[in-house]
Amino acid sequence: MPIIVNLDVMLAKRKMRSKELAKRMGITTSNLSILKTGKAKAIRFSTLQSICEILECQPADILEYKPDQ
Amino acid sequence: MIHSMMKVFGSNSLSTFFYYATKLGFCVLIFFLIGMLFFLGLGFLSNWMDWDNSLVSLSIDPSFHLEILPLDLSVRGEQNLPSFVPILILGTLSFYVATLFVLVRLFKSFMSEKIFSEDVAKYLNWLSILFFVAAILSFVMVLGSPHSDADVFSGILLLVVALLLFFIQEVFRQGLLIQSENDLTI
Repeated sequence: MPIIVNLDVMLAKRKMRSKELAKRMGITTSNLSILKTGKAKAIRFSTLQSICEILECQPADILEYKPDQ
Repeated sequence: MIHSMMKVFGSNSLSTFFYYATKLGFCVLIFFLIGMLFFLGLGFLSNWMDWDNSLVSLSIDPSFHLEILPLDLSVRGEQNLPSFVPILILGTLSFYVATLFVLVRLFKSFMSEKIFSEDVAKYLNWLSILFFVAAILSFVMVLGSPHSDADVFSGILLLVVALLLFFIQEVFRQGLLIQSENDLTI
């Protein structure tokens, strides 16, 4: 998929575990895992807002576009 | 108003009621089907019935004599049964048994919380095929057998139901697509 979610990178920078992020976001770890592993088909703005608030970052820090070759 | 009061899908719902109702109907009809097959088997074994060359009829000796040796039982009599009736009954029973079998599985799928599943689409597809085959056989009987009680309108009705089920299963496939996208939206 051309859109890559770099959540692992931000989590490492903020020294936060996925489990803690999921808990603070109010979603399950399995749902967060779907996002991290690139299996998600779409992300809600509310979810993106929540991630940016908790990790104190911009959407561009988490989402990257790499066209298919 | 009725829809908001009545739980249609999921556990303890209307689907649960129909699941058990169709399961009961299926068990009863299987019993009759086995009985019918046993009756036909006995008939052939005692030479009371015999195949003729026609595909849709068999010749039945009007005077029959059934002997069940293990039970030391003997039955004699006269009957005036049209020859095609046992096959017609067998065919009809088989259709109802197959339909109920699929309906049992369909209602069981409706008992789960997620109704848009591959299984539901599959069972609706099977039902559509069953009704389509029944429609074709109905038309064949009307055209091929002079003794048949089936009329064209039964076949047309079966065909309409088959088409309707085909469209409904496509709706469920679309629903499955939308649901899976929703599930993968975080």
